[in-house]
Amino acid sequence: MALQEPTFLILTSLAQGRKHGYALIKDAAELSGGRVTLRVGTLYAALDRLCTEGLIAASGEEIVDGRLRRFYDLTEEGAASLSDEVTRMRSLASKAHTRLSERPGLAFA
Amino acid sequence: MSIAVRTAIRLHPLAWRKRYADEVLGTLQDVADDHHGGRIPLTESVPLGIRGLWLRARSSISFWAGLVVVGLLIGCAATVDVEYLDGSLIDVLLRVNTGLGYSLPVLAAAAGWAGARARRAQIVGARERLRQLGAETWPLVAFTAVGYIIAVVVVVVRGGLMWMPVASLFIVLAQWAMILVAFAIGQLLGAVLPRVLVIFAAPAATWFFAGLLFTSQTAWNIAPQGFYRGIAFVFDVEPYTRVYLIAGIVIAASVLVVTVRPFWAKLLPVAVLAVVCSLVSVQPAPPPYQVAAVERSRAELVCSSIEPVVCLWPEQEAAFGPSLRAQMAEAYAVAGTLGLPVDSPGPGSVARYAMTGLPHPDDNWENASELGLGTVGFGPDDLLPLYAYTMTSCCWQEPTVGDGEYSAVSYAASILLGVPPERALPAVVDPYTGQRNFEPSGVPDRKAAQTLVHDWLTDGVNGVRPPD
Repeated sequence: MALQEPTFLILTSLAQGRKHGYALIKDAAELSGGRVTLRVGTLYAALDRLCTEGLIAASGEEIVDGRLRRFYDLTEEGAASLSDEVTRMRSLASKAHTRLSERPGLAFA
Repeated sequence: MSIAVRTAIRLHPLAWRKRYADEVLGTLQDVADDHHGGRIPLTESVPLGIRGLWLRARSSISFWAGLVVVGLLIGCAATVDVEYLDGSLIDVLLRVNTGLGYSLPVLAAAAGWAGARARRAQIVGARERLRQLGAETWPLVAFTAVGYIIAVVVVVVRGGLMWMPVASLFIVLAQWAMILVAFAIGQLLGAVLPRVLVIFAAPAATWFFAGLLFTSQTAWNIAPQGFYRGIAFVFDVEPYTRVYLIAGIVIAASVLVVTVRPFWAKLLPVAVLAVVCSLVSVQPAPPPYQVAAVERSRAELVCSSIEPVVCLWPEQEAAFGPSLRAQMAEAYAVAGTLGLPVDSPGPGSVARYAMTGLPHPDDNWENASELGLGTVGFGPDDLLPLYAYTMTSCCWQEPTVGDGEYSAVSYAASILLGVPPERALPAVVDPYTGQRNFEPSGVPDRKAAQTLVHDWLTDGVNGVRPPD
């Protein structure tokens, strides 16, 4: 099943390495070109669900300026899921690309 | 930390809070520092709170049971008969009883399920257990309250509402007491039984109580008279009420004790057994005042042999029979002189006025259209105005005039028959308080009374019932 966009962005962000909550919010915004701003409620609902599904796992915590930061990391299962999603999206994008190329009058690289 | 953020986090389930609360707070502060000048905006805290509410709700059977309760309340309110709704608030509230009656077993089952889950969680500490109990049941309470309000609105929209000075909110207290009893039953059973059994046992036990809500007559009668009379009426009419109340108190106390001291749960079967035994052992008995009214035979009545025939109970006959008969004969003559539509005293005509309440043949209750319950305790001064009242009511043909004028005609007729004005109002004695309740009359003096009676005779002569 296709991943929802916030989930995809979180997994993609964690593919680079472990991150804490706020770093994920910032990275998701950057990955989406500023289009997606994850709310804190949305982020932690997704993190909780992904932990339960075993796609990510907590990976240590630290206190910075009196604030608790828990780090999350991608699991093997999560990496596989992200890879499947990338393959699916790539395949879909390829088909779209082919059909658009065949469309007369549209210059598509 | 702002109240909004604190509330948003508190709305989440306990397990979530233990795991994520500090971390989420830190992340919220990071977001606030970088984008909102250090203040956590509502655009973050409100969605967080809503999500917490949803997380808490969907993990609780109370949430789903609450939806069922709302459906029952609204469904019944939308279909209950409002044809005879009199427009008073109390009547509107009574129409909600049907939905509540069906909801109680659902409430009990959900409370039982929650109680069983709380027991299995083996939480340490009374405060924590109470907190758990509250967390498990609040969606149910909230949904019930919302459903109750919507049901009232639905009934009002369907049947209308007007202000009448008879509404008593006692019925609301009674309804919510029943809801709490349902909760208590569920929690109690949940504390000792497995969940699989609780969801059957709790509704079955609660259905026993729910029957009270369907006897809307009880609530209707207690409504105008206030709290004391309400309690007295319920005790009097419903023979099981004392047992219900005792059982309710025992159950509520047991739930509290078991919640605070789980060890005592071992004694709960004894308490349950005691309640069941008391429920089984108590036999329904006719309420005290009904015994006097219902079980007397008409054959006991002592009737005079001369016109007008007046029938009295033996004790009334002994106390004031002769003087009353003389008074009635005089009034009868006055009525004839004035042209009031009474039976003419004379050979062959028999006018019977039984001066007491008599059971109605259909339902064994007193026939209120004759002389009502209160006459049992009346003396001679009360009987003459009631005679006038009966006289006018016996000859009435609906719907010539309204109740107010009917009452006024009775009053006026009483005055013309020689009854002192202060005693001329039709009255009934409240069987519980002994208080005399008089029907209001708009007749200021004797002249007005004569005019009223004259007009009534002129307009209503065609409605006069022929002598029996």
